[in-house]
Amino acid sequence: MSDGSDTPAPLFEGPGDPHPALHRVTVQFASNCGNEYLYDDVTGAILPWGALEEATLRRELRDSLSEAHRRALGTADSAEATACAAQIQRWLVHLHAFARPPHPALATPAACEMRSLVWANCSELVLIVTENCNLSCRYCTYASGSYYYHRGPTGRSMRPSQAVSAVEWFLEGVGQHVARNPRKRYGLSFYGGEPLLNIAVIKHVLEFAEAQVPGLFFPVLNTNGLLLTPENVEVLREHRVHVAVSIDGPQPEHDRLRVDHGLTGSYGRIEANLIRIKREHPNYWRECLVSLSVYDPLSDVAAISRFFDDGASAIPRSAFVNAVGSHNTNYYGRFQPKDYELLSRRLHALKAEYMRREIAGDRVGSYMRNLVAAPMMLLFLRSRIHDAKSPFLPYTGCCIPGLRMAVSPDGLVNMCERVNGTYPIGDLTNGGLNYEVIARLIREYQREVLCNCSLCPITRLCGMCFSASEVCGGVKPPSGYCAGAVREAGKNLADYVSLMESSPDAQERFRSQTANVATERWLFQS
Amino acid sequence: MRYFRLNPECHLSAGSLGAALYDILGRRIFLLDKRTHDLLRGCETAGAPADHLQRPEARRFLGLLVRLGLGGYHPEGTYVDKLLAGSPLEAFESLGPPPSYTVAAWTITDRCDHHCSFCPVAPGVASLQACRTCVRRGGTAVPPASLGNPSDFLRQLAALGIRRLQIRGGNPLLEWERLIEVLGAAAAYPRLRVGITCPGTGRSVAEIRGLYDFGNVQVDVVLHGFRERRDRYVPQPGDVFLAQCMLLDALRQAGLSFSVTVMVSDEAVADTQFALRWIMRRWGAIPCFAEIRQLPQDGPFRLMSRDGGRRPLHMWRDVDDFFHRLRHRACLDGGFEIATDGSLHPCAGIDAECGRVVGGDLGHALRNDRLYDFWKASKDRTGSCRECPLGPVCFDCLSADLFAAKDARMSAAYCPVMSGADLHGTPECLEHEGFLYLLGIDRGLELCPA
Repeated sequence: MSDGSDTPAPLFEGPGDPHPALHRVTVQFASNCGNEYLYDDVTGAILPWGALEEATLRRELRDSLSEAHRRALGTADSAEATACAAQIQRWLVHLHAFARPPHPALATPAACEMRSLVWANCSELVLIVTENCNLSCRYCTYASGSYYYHRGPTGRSMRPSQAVSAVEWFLEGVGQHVARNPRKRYGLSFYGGEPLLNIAVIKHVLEFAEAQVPGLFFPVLNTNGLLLTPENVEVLREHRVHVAVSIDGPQPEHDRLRVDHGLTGSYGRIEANLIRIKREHPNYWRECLVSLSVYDPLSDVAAISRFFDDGASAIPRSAFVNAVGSHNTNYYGRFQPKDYELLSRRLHALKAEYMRREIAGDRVGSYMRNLVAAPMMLLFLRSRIHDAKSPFLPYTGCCIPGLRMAVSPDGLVNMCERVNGTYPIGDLTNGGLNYEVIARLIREYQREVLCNCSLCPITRLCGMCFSASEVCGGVKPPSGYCAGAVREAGKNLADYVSLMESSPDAQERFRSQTANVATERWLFQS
Repeated sequence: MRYFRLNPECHLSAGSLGAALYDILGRRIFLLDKRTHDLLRGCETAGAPADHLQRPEARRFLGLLVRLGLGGYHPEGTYVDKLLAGSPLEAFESLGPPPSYTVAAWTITDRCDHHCSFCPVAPGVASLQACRTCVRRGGTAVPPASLGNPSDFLRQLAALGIRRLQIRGGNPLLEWERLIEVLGAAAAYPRLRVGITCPGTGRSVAEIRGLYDFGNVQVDVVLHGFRERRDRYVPQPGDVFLAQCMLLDALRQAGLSFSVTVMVSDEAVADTQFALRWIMRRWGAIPCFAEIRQLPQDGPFRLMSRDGGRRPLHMWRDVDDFFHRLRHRACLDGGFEIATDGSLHPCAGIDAECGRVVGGDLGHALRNDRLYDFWKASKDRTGSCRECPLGPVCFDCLSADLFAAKDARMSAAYCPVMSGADLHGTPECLEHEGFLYLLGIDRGLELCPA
């Protein structure tokens, strides 16, 4: 059981114990109506949990027993106590549940094994076709000046020949793996800056890919929507590009955050484009367009939710809602404590409304679902005991560097479009991927981030990755992150089981509601 | 008040043919009668005790379940999160890891030197165990499609991770040059085992023995009838059986691996026990029997397993395997067949076309989702099997054929469970290894006879 601290106490190890000491990795929590549960990080299972179960597990793990535990064991019906012990033993024997060895030696990556590992598992090529943008959003990682370690706007753009070279290089790398998996498709993401500023390259690449490897790529594009002109839309539609448009809410909300270089809001121009697309290409609008939103402490999330609920709007359904990035930034310095309190109250009210609707079986809007229910949905989708993880990076949400390859206009390859660009994993002008660097980065992540993860009770729920742990010149989890993540996970688990208790149909509804979540997260996880 | 709930590792399965409770970790199956199932279903869904739960017999029964480690008492409204081996949703499969291709069948010819009246099987007729025999698919005979250079084709198969290639016909021995070419190409992949399903005729014993020189090759001989009994469907000359025996004797003497499948008519069914013992004694092999029957009478011919055979149940290996069987059809998963015309099928016994090899490009055919739909066509998607609680442990290809052919006529004739065997009594139609129990409010717990 975790008490929320970063270094949970190790289990008791008896003298002459033939078994290595195991460290318990579970979280106990209660639902809103007081029923008790246990989350087990080894199996990813959630179990009903009472005093008898807790006392029995402690006894099985040779953990210390309090007076209350002894009482629970002493007063239990003998058949129930025997059955409880048998069940826990089965989970221990068959699933190795509840505890794991502390600080196991992690597999050490060698450069020579990185090549096949990366290319066998890589899933997406991200082309940063331009580092220029026609907006100057207040929270922009690049242009706002609020993020310490990210580059500023450079104005650089990719040339068509560079883009095609990048695709050819990618195809060469994945070639033998396509033969192994004929139905495999790869994401081909156009990113910026504002990628539509370089539509010529996008068009060129799409036509090249269609001619060379028809159907191999799943093209996606993140845009601010200003340049969704009829001509550009025609290109995107012809190649069935899935488009994520950044919309932060109704006009006042959107224009507060997303402004152009003259500090003029962008909402009206984007909405006009979306109205036209919906009118002229309703199927494309419905099937291929989604909205991405961010919010900060001043966002009226209830009003934004109502805005997205408006079925008559031309605004595409919400696919993701994220808070403005809070890592390595001074962005949040501009807000007062009352702003946070207001946001907290708004979120709390929206969550209550979400729970009410979900339990009553009423319709839940896409924004509300993505803002409030995303943690619960991710709990529903959490990895379980046999979901594969790399032996190099067995904990946290981190992927092997190279699984998403973000190529910048100068030919440098980064492990994804979200990292700050100061530690590229390759250079297309100089031999492609550098497997030594990838192996070194994994070892560094193991050393700096994963060092205590074997003791953590929520490794399956943790979202930490390279990007989230960047510090100047390396990686390290932000101070207090782990304790906060365990606390947050406990709250989310309580919300999740409270919903499941209140609505017996909730599980099935979650199943259908989350059908696209995994794929969309993968495609648009920018 | 505390309420009974089944443990997270217990899976309740029910249909009109009966109900079963699976203890996934304990690897036990409990067949339930309707009353017992209703009680447990009520405990799982109602959230509050029904009146009958208050009765002493029900309480006694639930006490038994507690002692068996199948459930326990919890506070009202408790949520029981069922054990899963993996996340309940997958990303688009085309974005995920490669499918586990394991077996490919390649029908290299429709030519045959026999004239069996049941071959080819009429289109749309489900025919069991076709994968073990040389029975041809119905429809118009077509010349073999060019699948390009065999070396290229074998390279593609090997790249997929295929571990076993089954070459079949017709009689593939009649396409000798092509067969030699394919075996030569396959020899470049030492981890690829090659089986040749054939009647063992059309070439000399020495020539057939010579096929083993390519390494990793096994001949799978199909006997048309057994002994001197002249099968009414197989107008073969009397010396064919003798020739097949000589071939098998030679392979046995040389210590080479082979398998035997016997096709028998309903007239010869009575001989199968004798044939089983005779073949085991003479060649040390356990034969597979495929029965030729007409269903309905004077209707199309089909291949079936022995009439009245017991349904073999196989225990899952581990948690992963259990959930895999719930989601996938184990007999199809990982395999496909390339027919003579280059069409791709889930297996040699299924008509449904899932793609087509164009210009020797196998990948083109495998990009189509239809094949994988068959792999994932769990028994819940087959009408008859949906009603049977034993789907995850029942291993046969019947349901796959029924699923593909929508040929329900066969189910009652073939499957003793579907034909109304009493699963609540002492179900002698089930063959298992001591993991099957009968469990009921009235009867308590009994081990089902193995």
